[in-house]
Amino acid sequence: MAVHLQREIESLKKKILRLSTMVEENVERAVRSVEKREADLADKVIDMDKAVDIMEIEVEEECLKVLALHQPVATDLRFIVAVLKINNDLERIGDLTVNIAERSLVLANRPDFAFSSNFPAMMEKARLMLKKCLDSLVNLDAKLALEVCASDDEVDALYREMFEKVKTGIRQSPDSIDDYLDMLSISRHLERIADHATNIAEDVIYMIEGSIIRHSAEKFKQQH
Amino acid sequence: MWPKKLIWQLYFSYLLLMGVPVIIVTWYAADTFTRFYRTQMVEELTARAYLIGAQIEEHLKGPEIGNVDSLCKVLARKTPTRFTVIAPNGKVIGDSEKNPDSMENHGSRPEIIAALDGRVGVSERFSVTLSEHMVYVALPAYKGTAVAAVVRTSFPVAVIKAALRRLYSRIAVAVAFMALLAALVSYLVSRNISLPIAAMKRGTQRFASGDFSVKLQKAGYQEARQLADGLNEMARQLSDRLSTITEQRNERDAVLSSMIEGVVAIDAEERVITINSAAGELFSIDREHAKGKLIGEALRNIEVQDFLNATLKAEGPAECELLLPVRAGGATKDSELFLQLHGSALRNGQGKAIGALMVVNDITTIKKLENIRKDFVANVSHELRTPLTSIKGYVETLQNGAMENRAEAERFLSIISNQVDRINSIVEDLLSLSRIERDAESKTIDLTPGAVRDVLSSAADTCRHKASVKGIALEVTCDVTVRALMEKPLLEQAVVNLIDNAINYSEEKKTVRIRGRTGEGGESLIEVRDEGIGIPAEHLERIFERFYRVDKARSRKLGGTGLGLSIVKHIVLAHKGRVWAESEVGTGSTFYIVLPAVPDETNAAPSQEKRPA
Repeated sequence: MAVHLQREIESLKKKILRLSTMVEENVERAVRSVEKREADLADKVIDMDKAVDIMEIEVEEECLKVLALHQPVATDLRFIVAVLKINNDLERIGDLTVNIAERSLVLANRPDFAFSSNFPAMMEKARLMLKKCLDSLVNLDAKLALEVCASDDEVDALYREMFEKVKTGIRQSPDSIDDYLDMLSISRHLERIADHATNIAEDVIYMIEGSIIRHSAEKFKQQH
Repeated sequence: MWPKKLIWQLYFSYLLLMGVPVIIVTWYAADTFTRFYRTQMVEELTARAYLIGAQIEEHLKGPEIGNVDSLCKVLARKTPTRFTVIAPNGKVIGDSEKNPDSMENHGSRPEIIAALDGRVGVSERFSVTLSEHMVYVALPAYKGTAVAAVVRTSFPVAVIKAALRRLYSRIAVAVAFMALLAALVSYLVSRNISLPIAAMKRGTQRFASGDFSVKLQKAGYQEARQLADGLNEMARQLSDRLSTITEQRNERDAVLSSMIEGVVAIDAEERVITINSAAGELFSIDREHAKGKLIGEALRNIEVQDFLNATLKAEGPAECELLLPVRAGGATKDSELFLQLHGSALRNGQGKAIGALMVVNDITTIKKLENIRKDFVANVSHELRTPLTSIKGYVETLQNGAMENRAEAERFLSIISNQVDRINSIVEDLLSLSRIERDAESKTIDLTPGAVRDVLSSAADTCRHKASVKGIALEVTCDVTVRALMEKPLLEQAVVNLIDNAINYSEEKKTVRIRGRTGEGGESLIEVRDEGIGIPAEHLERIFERFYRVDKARSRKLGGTGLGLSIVKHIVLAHKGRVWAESEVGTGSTFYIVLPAVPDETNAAPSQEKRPA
């Protein structure tokens, strides 16, 4: 029985890793397509998201199957609960990525428009956060996960800054309001991706430490 | 129940072996002693009773009973034995301890009853008279044939017990001493047996932890020595094997890590066996931590994972190509790598698949060259087709009747002639390109030192007519001292091409500056600077490729073949120099040619003059 459970958990682990890699690559692609204005990449992102959705359902069914058949306890149970939540977050990130890709498609067909200077920084930050939280999931590294939780504030700050910039930008040149709005919505999606990455990092900490640090991350950090 | 130490196991079994017989023997001996002592006592009392009985029988011949009592008292003075004489009716007639008159009738005592029957009566019981435990022996004393009295001797049991107790205590002391001795001896013996084994245990633990430096000491009995010998031999062989294995592993690691190709091996469970350093760098994997991890954890790239999984399942070797985006942090530009993956199943000795092996080749450069070649062929055909189409069109128009209109026909013919010139110039350029390339390869270009200024001014002269048409001024500044190894006509062609380009892409009334100077390292530097439209940064790297055009339509309109800069590049390469361009859109471009320093020529000439004759 225990052997079966271990095998199921192993296969579950492989699946969630696969899903996370897919999502990570997709975010990478979406960010690139915005940077380089490549419509092909954006198309591929939208294409790949179908595979992400299928994978998400597969992971969830697998989790439910393990829960129903093996009634896992302790670490195994925590693992499966964490995987269920991470699965959700990954799927949401996938959807946000598609949104970015759609914006990117629109942008690709428009003449060049000079983006705000902290836009690449924001893309890089969000991408790095996702990478780090997946790294922490892969390596079961609670410290790295905590780092991710901390850098969420930076992305939030960048987003607020961007908001101000867009406001002044629209006031100065109302003609390019479309571009500014697209920029705003992309940065909004990036901010949301960073939020989901934070959720994943929290779930990773829950999986490792067994304590739920949501809403009390500060306290947890002091303990460590 | 935990396993006991050998020494205690031996020790306790020795103790048991010695202790149990000692206890049994002691117990048996004590028992025998007691019996023996009692029997002895009874016999002694019987003997005394006989002796006294004889005397009593003498007394009984007379009627004086009182004498019996005094006799008893006299006899008893010498021994702790008590004597009693009882008449057949049970009345006590003499006693060594008490006054017979005060004593009760003794006829019901068991020993008396037995004696009255003519037997020897023996009993051990509580004496009411003396109030202590006594052993009694009673004998009949005869007067003629009839029993005239019973003579009874008795002895206190306490005295016997005290004697026995003394005996027991001495036995106990002896046994205790023996036990102590036995404990000591058996401890020593078991220690002797277990010590070498304990030493060997420590030795083998050392071996197990990989320390083969200290050998086991040969000590103790023969078997222990032989065992130590055997273990030492085993350790030696083990250490040999281990060092062989380590050596082999190091060799293998060295081979793997010096491979330019990335190598990744996984087992059937999709866990990483080996990742060499090339693969680690390519996929930015932390090799230390990757070992034993799932490939999905170590190598986060779906295409590679899928490829490895497919290889695991497939029978034969697999192959695929993929595009790996490389994110270089900071200032360096993100790029893409073309990777070629070769995969095959890892098989064990029995031919069973136990994993998969992937070899990664970076074929970015090959791909790039391939693309250049493809582009080249496509470009040549395209470049040739454009004028050909127009020639064909005009010829058809002429055939269809335009020949009749002389003025039209002449115009068409001149267009056709133009297009033929164009084709001609393309073919010329291609030919000269391939000639330069061939010459450079076969090293038949004859490089001789010459003044750069001559080359620059004759090139400028060549272009002056074209420049004056657009009102563009050509400025040549160059020192006579600037010298370089060159083949003059080739270098001139290169400079002409650059100036021609500069004129083409400049608007009217601008200036093209041509400068020649000597660089810091003695190399000569040629600069052609225009004030033209400039070249966007992303094209700068590629403008020296054949047929590469920043703006196709514009270039063709200006009459370029798309080969000019390519020819420049090849000429400069044939001179072992470098060529590059810097540009800013809107303000102009500068092309640089650097030719290597002339060896020893500038230094050698003046030094010879200075030397005294």
